[in-house]
Amino acid sequence: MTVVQEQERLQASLLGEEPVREGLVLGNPSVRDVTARIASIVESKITLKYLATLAVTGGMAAWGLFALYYTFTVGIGAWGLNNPVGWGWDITNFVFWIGIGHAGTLISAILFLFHQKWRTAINRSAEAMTIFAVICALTMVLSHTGRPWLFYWLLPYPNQMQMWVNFRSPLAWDVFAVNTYFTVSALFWFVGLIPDLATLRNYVKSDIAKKVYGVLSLGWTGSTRHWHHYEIGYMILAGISTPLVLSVHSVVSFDFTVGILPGWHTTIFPPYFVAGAIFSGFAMVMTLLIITREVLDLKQFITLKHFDNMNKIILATGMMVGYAYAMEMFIAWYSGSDWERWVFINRAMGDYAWAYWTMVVCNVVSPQVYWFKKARRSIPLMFVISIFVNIGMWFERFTIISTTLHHDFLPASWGYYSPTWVEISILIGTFGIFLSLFLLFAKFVPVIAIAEIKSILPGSQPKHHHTPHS
Amino acid sequence: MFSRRFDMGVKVGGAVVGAVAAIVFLVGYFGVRNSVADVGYRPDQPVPFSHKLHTGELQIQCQYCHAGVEASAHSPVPTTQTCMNCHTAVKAESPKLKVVRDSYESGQPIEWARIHKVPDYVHFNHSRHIRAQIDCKSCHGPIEEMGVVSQFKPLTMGWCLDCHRNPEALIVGARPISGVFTGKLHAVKDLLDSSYIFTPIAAQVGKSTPITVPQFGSYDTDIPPLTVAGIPHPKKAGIGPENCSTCHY
Amino acid sequence: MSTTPVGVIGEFTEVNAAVAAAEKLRDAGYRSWDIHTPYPVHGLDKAMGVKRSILSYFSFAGLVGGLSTAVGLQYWTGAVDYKLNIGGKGFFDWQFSVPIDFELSILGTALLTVAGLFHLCRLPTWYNRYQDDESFKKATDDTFVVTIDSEDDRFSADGTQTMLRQLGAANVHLVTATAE
Repeated sequence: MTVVQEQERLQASLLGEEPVREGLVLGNPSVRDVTARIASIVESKITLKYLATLAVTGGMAAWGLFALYYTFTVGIGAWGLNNPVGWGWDITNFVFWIGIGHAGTLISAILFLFHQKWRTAINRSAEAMTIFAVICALTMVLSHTGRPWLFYWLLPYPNQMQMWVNFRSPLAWDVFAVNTYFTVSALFWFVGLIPDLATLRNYVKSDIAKKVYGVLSLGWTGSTRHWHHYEIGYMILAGISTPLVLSVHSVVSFDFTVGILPGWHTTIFPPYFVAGAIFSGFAMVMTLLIITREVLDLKQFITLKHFDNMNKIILATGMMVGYAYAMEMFIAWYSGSDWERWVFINRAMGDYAWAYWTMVVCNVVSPQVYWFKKARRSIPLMFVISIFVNIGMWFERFTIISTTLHHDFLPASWGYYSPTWVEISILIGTFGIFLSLFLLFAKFVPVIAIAEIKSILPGSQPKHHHTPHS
Repeated sequence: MFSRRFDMGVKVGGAVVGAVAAIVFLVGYFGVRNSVADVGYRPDQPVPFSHKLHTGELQIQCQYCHAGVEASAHSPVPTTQTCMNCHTAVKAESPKLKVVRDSYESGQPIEWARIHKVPDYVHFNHSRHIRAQIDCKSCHGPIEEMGVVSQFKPLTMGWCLDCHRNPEALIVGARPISGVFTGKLHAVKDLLDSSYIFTPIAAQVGKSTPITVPQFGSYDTDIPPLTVAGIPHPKKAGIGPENCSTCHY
Repeated sequence: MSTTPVGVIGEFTEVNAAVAAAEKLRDAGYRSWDIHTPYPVHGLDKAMGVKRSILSYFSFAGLVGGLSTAVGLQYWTGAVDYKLNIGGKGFFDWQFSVPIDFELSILGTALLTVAGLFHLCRLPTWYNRYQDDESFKKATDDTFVVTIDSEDDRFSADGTQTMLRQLGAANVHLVTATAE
């Protein structure tokens, strides 16, 4: 940083234009340092440790894919589903993964619109995580259909049966919501990546890498005329992604609420699901970022301030989820409906009470430590709590699904659901797919939005002065 | 970055490949899907039986062999005994009929190859369609001209619905041809010239509303009369419905 | 073999100087020129005199297209092409169409926004006349690179270079192409 820039920054701070705060990027790197630091991750040699980790996650993925293959050849009778529980881990995992996928777009879109500059360090990896989580979610719903090779039956297309999708069904809404979410997230992510891929194209040494990044960056040159369109386009994408994030989990919750089963048929579900999704998504971002930050040594860009902010969001959304748990109980009592009351008493004290109380402890009790700043800035603690939240949010979906189904209206058909090795393997497999994709991403794609970080460095923007309009 | 030639090559190449893929898909999807749906399927049969000879030239009524088709869901394939009714006397020594004679003596049925088949989740009921005055030929085609029988219509759900929505436009008014309704055999060569056979009966029955257009909860559209000007209407009450459980039950 | 000028390149490393230079070049009446920057610089487009982007019209078209597709699809398939009575629900009602109306509106907007962005930025174009120039490659790292094309009416190989140097640009030089 030149003396002039330093002076200007000081001046700007004094004028209140750039408040003196804890920096978002530590160590005052120059623009060139940022390029070098982040691109060096891509340039670095692939280590044995990396390959070993990838082998483990790849093995998990392969094992899950084998379980899926087994399911497809044998049929979903391979799972523990039967009357009365017709939805089990398949839908639990689907809702879990789609929920995880909410943090990425939330960070990219909503925080962008609110000019939360701290998002720049984490948005790239959070968006990547979103896409990978939605891939896992799609895997789960496709396998849930039983005949995934006929997936296109879910889409309205002119066919020999002259049939159309039943648009009165929330399951059809879900198809549109999840696919739209995947497409828009992927577009948003890729548009954000283009300038960084161009940076890599000009930075990397190897010829093949130059060609690959060259093709992927689509010939971006950083032209101001292009940036002008780009910024507006990015803003529009952020603007439309914001309601999209809120809608997707609402629509997922319609799968339950539009039905008439006690325990599902509640109006609180859409906001409760969205809050839960953001909660679990942030927890997963925390888990991954804590590791990424350590391994790739990104402490300069991902600071304790970032974690502090994210933990505040986890605390807030955790409280919302806790409120929803309480409200469900209250409304069940207040409704005066015997079935509604019974389902909620059964949820807390019945066969699945262990799952319910795991959920409450993980989701409501554990984040309470974040009232203390020390806890919000303790890496080991936040790592543990992020895992707790992940577990708790998985159990939330499991509890909602199985407690409503396992005791239906006819006591004679009551049952208890437990998964088979196939379902357990598929869950492990989705984690394998998710982690493998994230590992590949962390190695070959800039994990931090280079151009965005540069644009928030002190002194990177011109000082305000009057620009006469031509 | 790349050369100008690379840039143009990828763009033009991409456009060409995309256009070709789109055309191939559209032609493939909309053009040949009926042949994918087994139209023209003609398996080898164990006996060189000719419908052209038996139905066309000899004028044997369909129900002589496919007995009970007008009363049952299924159109039966005749037993060997039915064949032997005649073939003990007619062409009794023909080498082409050895399989039939063997079957007759051993009591083991002939394994005819099945041609027309809808999936198990669809119930096609022959008797209902015959009672609705729909001729065999509407679906099976000109059987009396087929030496070896092949599938004539795609038997897809869309093909079913075409008729269920608009039977009077599609069903050929050639009902007497197989003699199912008249009990009387007709000379095909005479009937082929008859304009009556190939005139869709739409003009004769006028327009009617499908009965599966209920307003909320009730069928309040007019049900067409059973016959119009003496001609049976295929869309009388309960026939030609479009609701799922008509065929999927 | 003769060489023809492609344009003139100059480098800035200081953002305020780049903005000031952009204003001068704009006021000097240059039209076919650009500044390539590693990150979006606030106000630089204005300083260059770039007109307001028409991208939002693309987005709006996508919104209208997506919404009308959704409503049309649900109405036509449900209430026209195949009326099926399902649980006594209407063949088409706006209430149940809302989720898909919303999702397809978003999808249409996103697709046309990206398509429009690519169109306006001429992406992908894997070729650029300046691509082999070492200064030009710095634009994705830390340098604000001015390029003034030879097609510009005010372009003159010497005059333009002199002007850029006066504006404080470093490493000003002429880029030429070998005629084929």
